[in-house]
Amino acid sequence: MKVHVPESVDEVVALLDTGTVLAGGTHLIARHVPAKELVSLRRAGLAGIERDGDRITIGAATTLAQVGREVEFLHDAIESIASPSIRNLATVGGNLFVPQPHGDFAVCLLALDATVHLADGREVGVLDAEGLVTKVSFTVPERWFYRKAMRRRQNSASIVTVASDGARIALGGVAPKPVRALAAEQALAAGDIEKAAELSVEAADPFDDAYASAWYRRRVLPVHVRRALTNAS
Amino acid sequence: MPASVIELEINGEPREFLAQPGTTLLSSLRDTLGLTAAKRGCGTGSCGTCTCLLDGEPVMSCLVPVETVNGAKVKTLEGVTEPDGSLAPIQEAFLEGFATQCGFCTPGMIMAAEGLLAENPDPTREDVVRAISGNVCRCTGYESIIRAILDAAERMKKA
Repeated sequence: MKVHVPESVDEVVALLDTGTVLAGGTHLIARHVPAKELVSLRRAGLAGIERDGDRITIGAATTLAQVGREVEFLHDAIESIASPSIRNLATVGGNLFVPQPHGDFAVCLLALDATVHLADGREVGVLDAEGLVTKVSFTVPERWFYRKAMRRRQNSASIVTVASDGARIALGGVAPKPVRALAAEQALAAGDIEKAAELSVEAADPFDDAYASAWYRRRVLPVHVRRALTNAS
Repeated sequence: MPASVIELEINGEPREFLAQPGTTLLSSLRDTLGLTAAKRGCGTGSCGTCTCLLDGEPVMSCLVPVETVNGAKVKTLEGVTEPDGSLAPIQEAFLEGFATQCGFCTPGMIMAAEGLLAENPDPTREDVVRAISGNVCRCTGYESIIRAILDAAERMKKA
């Protein structure tokens, strides 16, 4: 085991082939993912939030806690993820790579059609993140809808997560990766929320886990899509 | 791989020690420095009994490779006690409110509460519940813990 703590993005890039990238460690360390060498992003200068008008850019190593404090419309979504002592470690970049039913922030980014900036200069979509992510950027939406169904009100993984800007609808908890509910979006564009809720299951490919069965996830998905889009509690 | 020299400011005192590669902050505290208030429960960030303040923010110390936080300020329950050895208001609130029960979660609960009260000296019950949402009490004595944290906030306002 060796832990590298590089102090610039260039140094991280030079180490990418030798070890596994370590951000907050809330998944990697917790799951004891076998890694002979770890490359920590903690000192690589990748943390911070910048605003340019309604465009927000968030460094990959920014903690979820900081996003929750500084980006008001995302506050409730961030608070739905794990606990404060995890959110003080877990990062925006790391959230793109955690397996479902975790990764609720990635669901938000998908609904925001966020751009993921890679260290090699490419800009890709949320679902195409690979290699070293340096930052994500998105435009603050005029409207925002978010709902996460959990086993309890705090600190639980997703049964169903719904994020929407009123046009795009992204789902978590109901497929191996966050997904866009494209058929539902068409119904929503036509102003039919009931139909959008009903069609959301077309995007689902749910799984069984300790939190809920695939059957249950599929069954309650339309309910939560409808409640999210109508801001029902 | 050889051990590396780690410098941390722990409970206000500079400490320097050797850490084997991949050692967690929790292991360093307990096994190297003899600060055993923080406990190892699950080792996966799920139980919260290892909670410490890292540069003022509560974190799960079992998830932090100590080499990645070289130079940081760390506060553990040992640093909550007053320098003369007397109990801090939050410790008195836990003691008098019978909020400890078996005691295994207590260090983490108090550090999570410290993080909350430093940021928000006048928390609501809901704020307290959120603050300790990563901390498991295996005696399920959450009500007395929530009351003790609210009581501590009152005591600290008066102090």
